[in-house]
Amino acid sequence: MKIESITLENFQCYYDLNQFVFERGLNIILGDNGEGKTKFYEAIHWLFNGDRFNLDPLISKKKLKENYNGDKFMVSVSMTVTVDNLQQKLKKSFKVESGTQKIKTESFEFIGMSENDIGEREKMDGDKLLDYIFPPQIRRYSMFKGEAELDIFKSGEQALSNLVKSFSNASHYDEFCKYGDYLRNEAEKAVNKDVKLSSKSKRQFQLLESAIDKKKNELSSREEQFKINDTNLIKIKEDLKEADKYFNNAKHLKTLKERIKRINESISKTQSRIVSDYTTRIFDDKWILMFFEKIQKEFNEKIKNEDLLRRKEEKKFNMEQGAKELSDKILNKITPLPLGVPSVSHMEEMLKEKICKVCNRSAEEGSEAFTYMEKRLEDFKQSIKPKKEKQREVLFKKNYTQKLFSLSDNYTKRLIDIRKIEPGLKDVFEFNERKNQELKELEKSLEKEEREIQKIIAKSKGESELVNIYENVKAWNKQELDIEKSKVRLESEINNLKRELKELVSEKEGIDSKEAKRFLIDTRDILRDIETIFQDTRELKYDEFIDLINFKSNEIFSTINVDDFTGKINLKKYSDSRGEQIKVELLTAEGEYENPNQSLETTMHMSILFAISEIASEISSEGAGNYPMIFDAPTSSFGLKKTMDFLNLVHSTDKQRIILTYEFVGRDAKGNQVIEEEFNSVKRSKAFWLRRDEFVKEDLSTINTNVTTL
Amino acid sequence: MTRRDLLLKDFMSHPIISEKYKISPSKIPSTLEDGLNSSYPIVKSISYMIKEIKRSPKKSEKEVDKLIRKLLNESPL
Repeated sequence: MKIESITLENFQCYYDLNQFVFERGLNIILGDNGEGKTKFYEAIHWLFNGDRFNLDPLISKKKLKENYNGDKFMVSVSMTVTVDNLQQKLKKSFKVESGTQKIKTESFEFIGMSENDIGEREKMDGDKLLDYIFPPQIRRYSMFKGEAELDIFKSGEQALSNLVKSFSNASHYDEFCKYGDYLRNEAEKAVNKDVKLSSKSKRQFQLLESAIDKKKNELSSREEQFKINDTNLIKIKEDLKEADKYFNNAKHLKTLKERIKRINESISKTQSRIVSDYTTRIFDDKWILMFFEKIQKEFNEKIKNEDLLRRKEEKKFNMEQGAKELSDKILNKITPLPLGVPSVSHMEEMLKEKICKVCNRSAEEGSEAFTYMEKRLEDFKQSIKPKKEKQREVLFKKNYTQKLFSLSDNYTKRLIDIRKIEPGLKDVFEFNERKNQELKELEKSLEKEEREIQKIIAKSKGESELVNIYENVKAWNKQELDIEKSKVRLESEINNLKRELKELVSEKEGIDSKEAKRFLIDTRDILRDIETIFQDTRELKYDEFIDLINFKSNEIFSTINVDDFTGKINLKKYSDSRGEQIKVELLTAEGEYENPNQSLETTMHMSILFAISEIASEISSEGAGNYPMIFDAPTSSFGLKKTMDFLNLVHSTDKQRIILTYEFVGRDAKGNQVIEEEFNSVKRSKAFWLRRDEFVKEDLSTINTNVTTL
Repeated sequence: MTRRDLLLKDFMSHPIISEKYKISPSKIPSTLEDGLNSSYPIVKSISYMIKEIKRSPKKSEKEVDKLIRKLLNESPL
């Protein structure tokens, strides 16, 4: 059987018509979390199992919004398959009428379209066609969601007998056991009846029979109790194992969270070290002065020029002032002798003698010459007297130029520091660039760790349930111990009862042989032997089938896990209160029990499923025997490398498998989804990529998944 | 070999047949038809049970019990 195509029409996030055309071999559907992988899986599940109830959640909200005014549209999921080269089609659909008040769904139908040997197509009931092309016992082993569902033996109930019924002829022997038990029991009754008719040992026989019945009841009760204990113990062990698994997840989660905390701390630290307060630094660290030297030079030039101009102006002014003063002192435009010529003593001498010895004329007291000489003497005396200098008039009362010079000098001295600003600034920018680069790397690591957390949360029960499990672990450990003790006690009691029963039966059989008719004893003995033969043969056939699964599973297991420790899968049959069960164990080469991690456990279960699929295809070369398998996120715990190896192995089996995975979908620098390069190394027959349109978080009607065939 | 022959073959392989009933391999029937004609009551009984259980419609447990008892009653044990 081969799935040719699956078409989703207005089903949940699949707006309008979306067709997946599949090939034989490995078909991979890629999609990040929330892009529509599980909705695709649920669509197939609905096609196989869905009924006419609760249809509203299946309708595409986008389509619904488009047709709010009462228009009708279809929601459907259809699958086309070929079985023995004949095409068969299944379609489950319903009509939607969306008014403003409420949604009306109608015309639910599940129809099949079957092609016969002469190429005619015939419409038939969908359920009938589904059971023909994909029988229920096959469907049970063909669709799996997540890693937990891969363990087909976990649910316990009838898992082994279902498996045997579906894929082995061992089930033929079950009914022989039933008949054998009935016939032997009837033969026992006939012997008992015959002995009771004999009067000789009647009393003794009745006592023995009653004692045997009592012992049998006791034994049966103990055995029942033992089985219940066993079941409870298995359940507790499974719970503890589950807790252990989640504990590992929690531990991993804790490690990741610590790593994230450290990365966030590094991010904060790096961010705090990045210089971002440029405005402040422009003033506080005087970055503004970086180009000051040029201004300073220009400033100096300007001051010099200004000074030159000032001095010229000053000189001119002073000259003008000096000339004025001189002219004031020149009398009658005669150039006077310098002060001190003649000397004071000469002057006094000339005044005393009343004669001017300079012009050699008499200078009588009171005469103009005498008065002149007197004044000159007085002027001279005054001039040599220490006197307060007269404030000279100046052109520039404030010496700003000088101030500017000293300012310039001051700045020049500070140029040494200013010259350091530019290289300092370069250092700051280089440092910032380095730190920004570091920040980018840290943010990348943070994103990676956060994705890893999402993966763990996706495959765990969630943190809150994890806490509940932890709380239960203590109680489970105590219960486990109590049950173990109780089992030991019961086992001893059962052995004692069996021994006592054996003695009683032996005693009774002694009477039987003496009292009952030979024919009845012989018939009973033969029927006892026949029952033993039937039971043993059944056991043998079941064991052979389990051995076959074991063998094939281990062949596949070693191939999937080629680079890792594999150990050996061991399917072990046991009985508990629910009946015969299968326990999946992992053994080391030395035959010791090994506790597998999640990834190894998934690989084990996957190997068993592939083994069953192989066995099924060996039983029937075409038709349902060669059935396709659909897995939604089966390798969450694998990691990229192991997923690649696993997919390559699946591809090599050349059987049709549809695998939905979030691996290989990454993000580019801008945060856009991309297919990672590693996907190029994955061998496959076909691949699809699911991506949602941009959507508004609060508005479901904006959600639409696009299907791209890669 | 039919499904019923195979069933008989499987039952005849049990050690009880050779060890307790001392039936040599040459006396072990290879077909159901041979088994139904066997001179060994245990072989004959098993063969009849296969025939009756695997027929359509199959006989009830009570009917098979009656048949086998009659058979064993008539066979020299």
